[in-house]
Amino acid sequence: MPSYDFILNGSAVTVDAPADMPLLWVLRDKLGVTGPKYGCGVGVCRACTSHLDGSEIQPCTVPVQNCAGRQVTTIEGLATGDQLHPVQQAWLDQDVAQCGFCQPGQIMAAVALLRRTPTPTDADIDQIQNVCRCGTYFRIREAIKQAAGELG
Amino acid sequence: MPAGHAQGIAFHEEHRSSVACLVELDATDPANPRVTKAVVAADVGLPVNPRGLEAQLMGAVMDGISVTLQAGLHIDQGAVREGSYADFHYARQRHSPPAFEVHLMPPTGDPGGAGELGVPAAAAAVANAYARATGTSPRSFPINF
Repeated sequence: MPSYDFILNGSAVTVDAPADMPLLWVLRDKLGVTGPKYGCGVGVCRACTSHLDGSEIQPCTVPVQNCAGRQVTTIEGLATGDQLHPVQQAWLDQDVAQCGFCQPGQIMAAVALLRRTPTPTDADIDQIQNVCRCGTYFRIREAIKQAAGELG
Repeated sequence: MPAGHAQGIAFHEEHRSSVACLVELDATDPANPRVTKAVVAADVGLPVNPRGLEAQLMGAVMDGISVTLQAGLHIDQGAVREGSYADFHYARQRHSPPAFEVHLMPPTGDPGGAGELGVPAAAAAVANAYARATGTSPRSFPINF
């Protein structure tokens, strides 16, 4: 079985896995990193949203071989020690989470959006496609605006 | 309201609670309507966790938008045809109202239920707004299915 090295949340990791194993299963089942959630497996619910070299990905559709030598960031790697990322803090301030299942993906999508577009309009925020079955969308919108103000 | 836009209102009671919902809908493209604002007022007797109640009513509005406008299931030879969120069109951020308000009525007694209290009012308010904005009387839901 091939072996792959990559940087996960700032630390070097090595995994033995089939080349086409989705990164999501490598993270969850082989490395015990369960922040990225399994929802659909086909990249449409986006509950697993994480970052590859700082850009948004859906790990359920990214084979582990594509991650070799690269930087993978999940929700677990977003804070700096005990210092929450401003998007995480905004999520707490706005009481965004209900059941919480989609929220790691929502936060990672919001962080990626704010990297691309530091002061997003409502139309920019509308581009986030992550599903939230609790319907927390309005508070997500408010939290992104709060974080944009603090990051800007 | 501008042409193609309309307000809709609805009211619902259950589990010793009452809720009213007003939405504003942009149906200038009837195949792609957008709720632009939602206002919900609820009397649940005694709000135990007001922020949680607001969140529950917010989710109810998203359920009302979804089931009225776009998210349904086809039963095909006894099986559900939709297989994922690619074809079950539950609302995404681009379908959510950019303006949203909740008004909780002051305590009047024992707590009533609020689990899905807001869904019937929100769904009916969206349908009423769509009917008024487009001059149609939809009788089959979701409208765009």
